Amino acid sequence: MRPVIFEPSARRLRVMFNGETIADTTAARLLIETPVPVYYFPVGDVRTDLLVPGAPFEDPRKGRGRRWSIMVGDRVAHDAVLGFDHPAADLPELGGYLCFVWEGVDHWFEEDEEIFRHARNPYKRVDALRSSRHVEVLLQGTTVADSRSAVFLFETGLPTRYYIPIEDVRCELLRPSDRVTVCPYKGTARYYHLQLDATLYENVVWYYPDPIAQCPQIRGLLAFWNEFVDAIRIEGEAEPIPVTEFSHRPITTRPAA
Amino acid sequence: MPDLMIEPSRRRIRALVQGHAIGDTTHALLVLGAGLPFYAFPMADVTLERIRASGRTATRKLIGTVHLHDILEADGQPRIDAAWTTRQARLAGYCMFAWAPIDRWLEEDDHLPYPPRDIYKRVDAVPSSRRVQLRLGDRIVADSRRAMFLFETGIKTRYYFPPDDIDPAILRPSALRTGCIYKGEAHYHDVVLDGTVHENLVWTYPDPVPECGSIAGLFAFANERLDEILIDGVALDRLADPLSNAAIAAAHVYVRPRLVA
Repeated sequence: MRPVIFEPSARRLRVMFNGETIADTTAARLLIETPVPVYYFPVGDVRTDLLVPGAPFEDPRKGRGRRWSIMVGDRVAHDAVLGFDHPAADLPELGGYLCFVWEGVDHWFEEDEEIFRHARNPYKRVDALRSSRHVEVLLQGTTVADSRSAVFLFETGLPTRYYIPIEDVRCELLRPSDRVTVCPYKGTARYYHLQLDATLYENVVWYYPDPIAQCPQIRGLLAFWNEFVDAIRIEGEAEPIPVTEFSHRPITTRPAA
Repeated sequence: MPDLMIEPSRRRIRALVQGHAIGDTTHALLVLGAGLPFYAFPMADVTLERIRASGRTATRKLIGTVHLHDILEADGQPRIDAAWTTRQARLAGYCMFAWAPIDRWLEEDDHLPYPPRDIYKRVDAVPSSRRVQLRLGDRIVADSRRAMFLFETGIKTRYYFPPDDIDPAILRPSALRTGCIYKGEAHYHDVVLDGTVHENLVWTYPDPVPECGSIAGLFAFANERLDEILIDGVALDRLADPLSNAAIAAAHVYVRPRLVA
């Protein structure tokens, strides 16, 4: 069976919903089962008076438990809390803890810093390194970026991402996009479509206009999906196309307006 | 005991001697678990005519017997025992360099001033309004509600104080400097209190690495040498914690991306 880590966290954690602090603890534990870890709160540090019981469920790895909804004033967060009243034999400690569905509540804080998307994994790092290696990005046979001054971003468990200065990108091909995503390790990403002839390749480029303090080196640089461009060449040699958790959602195309 | 962890690296790694890259590879291995992390260079990416077997051997943690080599400078001067090889199966065919005898290390084009980072370790500096008070003897030497809490995987939380929240009379700069690849170069201070000198009890990073910019100019104390740390008025029961490398090895849950040719 896959090992699961259930380790103490030294960070104060708070969860807010509809203006109320639902949980506030300095004794959280971090459950690491996949690259995305989950904070667990001691039952005593959760406002259980605001919870109403929901349906039982069974998790193949962690055991049997129950979902709970949070009711605060006029708002209900349905099934936003999970507890394990019959945890798996090798995880007996789970019984004393509750966890939250990240998007089910309004705000999360580590100490006094709001955190987004999911807990950061303490066993994952992100290193941004300047490189003079020659990077070329090809889409539909067109070289859309060509740089010798990219920043290579090495994120544990993911393929290298190449963050390219705008002067080395065919920026006349970029078209604005409304898409916004959030990464707990880098910050809020914004996107561009890329237009080639009459076709728009949607959200194939992203950048971090204002990355979090731990990742300042990529500010304003443009990255392309390794998974979805024709090729990224490093020193003339095509990188193998990686298959990642993102591969199942390929970019879409549509006729340019 | 944690096992040796060997990770193929996609980073270009260079080891320079007198400006010449004695190793220059984009196919390094990052070796974790045997002391500080180090890179292994494929033989094909090493200037072998500048390497000379010394006939000496040494023993390394989790690796066993290693064969030592001298690196030859341009005029033939040897740098003694500056390289090593091993028949350990996963490192056979690779050449390793000792850290110090190499003039300059590069990861891509960035200077690597200290041995490389463990890719399974992170450092998060987070602002906190929890009150932190440090007691040394019968004196509170630091008291803050705006410290940065530094969470470094496997190490007890360090508290970085704004200078204004430390008793200014007690600090005396010392000559000690240490380096950390995750944070930068630390400058130390002695604490002089009631005639007693606590050498190098305090440190600060005047110019930390970019990822740790938020601790610039703040001061940290060696937890384990204090008499008490109070967080919101409650004493921590243990000031120091042993590192837990076992947890790091067990947390090895990343699935390397599959690659399609």
